[in-house]
Amino acid sequence: MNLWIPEEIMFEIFSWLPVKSLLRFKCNTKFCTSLILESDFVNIHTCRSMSRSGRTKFILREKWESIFFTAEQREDEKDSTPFLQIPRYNYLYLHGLAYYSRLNCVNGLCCMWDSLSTRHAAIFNPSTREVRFLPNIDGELSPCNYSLGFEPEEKKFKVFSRYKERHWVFTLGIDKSWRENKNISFAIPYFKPSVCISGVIYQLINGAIAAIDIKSEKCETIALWNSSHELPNYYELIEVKGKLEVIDYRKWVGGYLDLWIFDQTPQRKWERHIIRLPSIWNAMKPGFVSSVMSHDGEIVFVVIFKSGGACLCYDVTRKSWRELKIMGLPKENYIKGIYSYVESLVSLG
Amino acid sequence: MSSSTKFLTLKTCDDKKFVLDEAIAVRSQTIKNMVEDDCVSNVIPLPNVNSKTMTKVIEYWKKHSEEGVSKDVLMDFDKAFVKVHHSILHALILAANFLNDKEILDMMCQEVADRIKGKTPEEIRKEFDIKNDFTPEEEEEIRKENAWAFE
Repeated sequence: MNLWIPEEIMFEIFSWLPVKSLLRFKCNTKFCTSLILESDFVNIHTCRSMSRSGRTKFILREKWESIFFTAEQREDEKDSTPFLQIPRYNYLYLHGLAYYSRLNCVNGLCCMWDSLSTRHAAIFNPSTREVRFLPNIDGELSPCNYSLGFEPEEKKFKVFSRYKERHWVFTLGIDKSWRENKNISFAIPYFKPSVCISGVIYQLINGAIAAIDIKSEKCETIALWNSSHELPNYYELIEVKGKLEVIDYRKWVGGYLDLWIFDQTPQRKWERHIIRLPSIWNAMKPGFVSSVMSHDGEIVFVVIFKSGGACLCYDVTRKSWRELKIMGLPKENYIKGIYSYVESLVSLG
Repeated sequence: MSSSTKFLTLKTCDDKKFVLDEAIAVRSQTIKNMVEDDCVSNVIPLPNVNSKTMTKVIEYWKKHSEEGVSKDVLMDFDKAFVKVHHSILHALILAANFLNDKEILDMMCQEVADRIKGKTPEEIRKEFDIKNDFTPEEEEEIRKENAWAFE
């Protein structure tokens, strides 16, 4: 059957396609080639990738902490049980990108770096597989931490980096070298991934949260609900429905997790929620927990027990738990970290 | 709630008439604009939509306007609704575009996308009756850029 479809409808149909299909259909016609470069199309496509259920893509970090795999949710053909599949030929592995140790994903792009070596940090789009290496800072300094941020008004990506108490910023597609940023002065004693929500990067620091406004490149501090200055190693930042939340894992064996929701109003209050754990999991003390928010309203936890790793999902609305099996992982290995990204055509500029 | 139900008559391109509650018909932004601009006489002509397609559209509108219908029921209804031959699917897309019903348009476009996502460029050109406007060399060049997408 051949039915003529106007271009505006081709735009609509194509905006629902996975990136891989779009890159293959680029050679259909000149219209298709130019369509996937149009910023309107790229923006709408990214929004739609976020809104479709089951489309969240993950990057998993294996037990040695130095290899990453991409993964996506699939369903068993017979009983439609969902699981996480790692593709057999994982390109992160093949491109040597996997051998970095740190990762931060925001709006379809990821920043990868190695906190122990002087290798250049890399920015890549896991959907289009475009990769670019960032310049070194001041020739020899190797920052210990990077945060990627997306500024939704001007639709710009910026990378913030730190070395001890010095801070730099790099705007993708515009800057040729790093600019030192004297507006920011906090130090991060350890590494926990930052989260980026509505143009602000949040990063756990000692006893507080640093909030970097991406547009103005200025920073302010948000006090936690308690004023303790201990290192919150068991805290993790997460975005749930546009809000900043902190997960506290300390009471895992007690059978629950604390979820602290930050109220953005001028009062700046923290509201505590308790997530009950199913009894089969809380009997075991986890050695390590990593979590990320999927676009389907689930918090996905990777938990390491003595018996091995498990991927557990908590549905925030239904308040229900399920376990996701991970398929395609090399033998004798398990997953120690989880990150998520949005399928997007966004280019590295 | 208004006390009296107003009805509209829609006339498709094959001269079939559909009498419909105005509250339901205004799911179409096109019809809604006509009603609001007061340019509705007795019959609203829909020159781009045939009766077979309009029957499907009305089926969708009525289901989604039912009172107290659960989300799960609607999800099952939508799932079954899109499982149609692709000639009907294409006709529904064109109708939804003309009627300016974003909900149906999005749902149908998603379904087409799901059906074509694994196809080759040749199959896509055939499916949408589009002409290849590249020279073989140009096409080869573009294919090479993203060879992995053809795996």
